[in-house]
Amino acid sequence: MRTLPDSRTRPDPRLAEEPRLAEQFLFNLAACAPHVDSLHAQCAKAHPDFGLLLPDFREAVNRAVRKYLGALPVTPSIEDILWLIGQLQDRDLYLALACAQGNEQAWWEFDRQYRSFIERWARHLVRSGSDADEIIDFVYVELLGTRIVDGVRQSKFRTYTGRGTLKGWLRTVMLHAVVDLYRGRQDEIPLEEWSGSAEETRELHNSLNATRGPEESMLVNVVRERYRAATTTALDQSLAALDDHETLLLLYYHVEGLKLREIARIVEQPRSPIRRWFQRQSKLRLGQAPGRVHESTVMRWLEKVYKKVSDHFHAELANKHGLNPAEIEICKSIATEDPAQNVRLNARVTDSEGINPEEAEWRRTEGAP
Amino acid sequence: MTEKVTEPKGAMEIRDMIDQRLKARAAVELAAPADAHLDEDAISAFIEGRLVEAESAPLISHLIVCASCRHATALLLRVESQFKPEDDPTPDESPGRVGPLLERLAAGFTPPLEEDAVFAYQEPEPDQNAESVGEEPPEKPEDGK
Repeated sequence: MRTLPDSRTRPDPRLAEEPRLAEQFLFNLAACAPHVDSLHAQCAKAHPDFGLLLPDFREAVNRAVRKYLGALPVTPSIEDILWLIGQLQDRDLYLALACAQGNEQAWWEFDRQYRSFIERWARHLVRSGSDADEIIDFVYVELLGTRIVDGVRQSKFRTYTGRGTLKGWLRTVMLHAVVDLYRGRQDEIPLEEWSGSAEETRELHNSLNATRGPEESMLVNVVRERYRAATTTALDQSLAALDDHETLLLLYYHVEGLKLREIARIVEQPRSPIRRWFQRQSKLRLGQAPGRVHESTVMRWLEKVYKKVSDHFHAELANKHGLNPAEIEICKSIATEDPAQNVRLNARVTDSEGINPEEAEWRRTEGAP
Repeated sequence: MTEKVTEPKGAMEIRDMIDQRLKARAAVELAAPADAHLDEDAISAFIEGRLVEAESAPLISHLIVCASCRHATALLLRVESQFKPEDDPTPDESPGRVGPLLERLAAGFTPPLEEDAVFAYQEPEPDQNAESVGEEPPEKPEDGK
């Protein structure tokens, strides 16, 4: 599995295996040092009392470069590195690093800038006021750091690289804290008490099985099983043939249950990789300005992915499994008759709050989940 | 929208099949090792749309196979979409939670982890309570460049 390397604990293996590339990377990184020094000077001028030394700032910038460019298939050029450094939220990074070092002025500045936001975000995430206070306290303690390793306080701030905004990073840190808080409580409660739908699903399965009766022949079952296996295989092959961007779009929509407008948020940024990927597939006309991504755009992307899967699915069943059109129709009907799905679909209907009329209509007419 | 209504039944079926299959697969997805998860730094940069394609490619590949990280990003997108920009406050000049933390720094004292909750707990000040239940602060421009 490919993941973004964490330069603090996991050096990029590609660089470790190829010393020449690593050497070139370090050379390019060193060539960018004057630019980093200049950024540090600007930050230090704005906050002379933070006391963050140049070597510490340099080290943090290098860490960000290694983390986000170190895993590229080619050695990043000096221009690549300069571009990334230019993208860093240098003021946020400077503040975070100073806080990580325990600078009192930096902490006061952080508290002044972010305390109200942290409190509002915590109260937005959890309903109970006491839970919100618990989250806020937990996050502040994490930011401060409770452990000291080799004389260095292990502040959570040290994991911030400046690639996104400090505010966005705080949002994510707090969300993780909330998830951990509730996960911890859920572990203490029997699972069945959390899942009211389990019994409902079981009952539905039982009733449907009863209607089939014992007279259903073994031959029919064997044939059905063959079609079912072919369907599953063909569908998995069709899904596997998708690009990662398309798969993630499907997963966000079908598995995570995100609404179109929520997915649209992740592609709002003109440079968003998902947006750029889909726009390339759509072959934007020359000179056409990439405008804002609306829900209808995401809807069209989804429809294109459905069509791609459908075409691949039919081709798989026809060519690899040798099924004729009538048999393919049987496969499709088998694939959609799972009773558990009905329960899930009904559950989603009640969760229509926040869906705009267009999406609701689309879901209804298209049979979307 | 009228064009979509006339689409063949097959279009609906493929959506249902995809929906069902993806959910079935997600139900049996194995959790990624704890040290392989994306950190907050990468997740927030991705959510903010700051990563270019080359940077985000390994991240997207990870989100496809790691339900935990994907769920975190989805949750973040969902709750962020409900967080109104006017909820984003201006800097707060009043003394806050950082005081006790700074005292702790100055003392160079780090209590065991299990004592943290007690140490860090602080009664909310009256003005903080009032702020959290409905005062709308002036809008602050978004961060970033």
